[in-house]
Amino acid sequence: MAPSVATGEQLPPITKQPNEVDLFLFSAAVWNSHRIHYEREYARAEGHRDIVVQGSLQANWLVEAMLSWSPGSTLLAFSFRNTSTAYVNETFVIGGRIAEVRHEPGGVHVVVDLQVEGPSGVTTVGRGTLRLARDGADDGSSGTGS
Amino acid sequence: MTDDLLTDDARAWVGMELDIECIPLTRAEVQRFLVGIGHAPASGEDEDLLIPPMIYQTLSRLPVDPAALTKDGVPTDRRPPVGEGRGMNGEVELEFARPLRVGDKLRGRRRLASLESKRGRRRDMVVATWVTEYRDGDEVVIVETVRQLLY
Repeated sequence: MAPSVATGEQLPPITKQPNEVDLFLFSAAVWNSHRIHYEREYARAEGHRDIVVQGSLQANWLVEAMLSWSPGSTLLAFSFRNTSTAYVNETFVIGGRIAEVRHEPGGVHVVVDLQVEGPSGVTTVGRGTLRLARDGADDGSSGTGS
Repeated sequence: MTDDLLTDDARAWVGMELDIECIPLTRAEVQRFLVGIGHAPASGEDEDLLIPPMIYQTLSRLPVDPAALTKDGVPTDRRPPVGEGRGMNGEVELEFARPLRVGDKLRGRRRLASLESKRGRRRDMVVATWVTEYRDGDEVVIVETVRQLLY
């Protein structure tokens, strides 16, 4: 179970530095053929300074930040929005803050505000709701994050 | 004027529904997705497998005929005809009724709920809101709302 659950608590940050291979593997996994994610010249022609990190890859980082903070918990809801462009080979810090703790009949629900921050500022924001695992195990189902 | 982007041809798309037959959730798909998001393949039995919730992204994107892709590599069938035919995803909202399991075979029903003009910081655009319900049999598993920014 998460070590403590209190509004305002910060999740331990995680760091990512995706390279070209990482972006290729993600594009391949989700059948994303958008050229800005693998073709540098095309990305630059589109006005970007380099190859663009997929917004949905950053969403996965946000989910990972929640579920690595509270392994075994279940993701009930999640939203995200890309706020600026993230570029390949840059370093990103993924963090979160507990916005709300609710005691529901099925367990403790925690709402977490999340963000991905790169060298030029925040690139993705999100909000997730977890049903916390009880004593390190939830209701026996799978479905937690990576 | 933002309304110039929202033509009758575009408005005719509102209410359009698409069926999405997803790839079955197999152990191999889990492994491929784990590697895609930067993790080592999982070990252990299927029942112990930790399934990333966002794997539905890969299950619901079937291969597209390359001839049906736009110049920038995006499927054309998911984009109402707006402006220069360019766009990006805005906010995505997800509700998970239950965790995904190996063996799930999802089917999606996607509906274009609305098109709205919006004045952005750098350009005028149209916001397309797509709502997709993913079911396994009769059971709703995931509801996804995607706001697509078109210009």
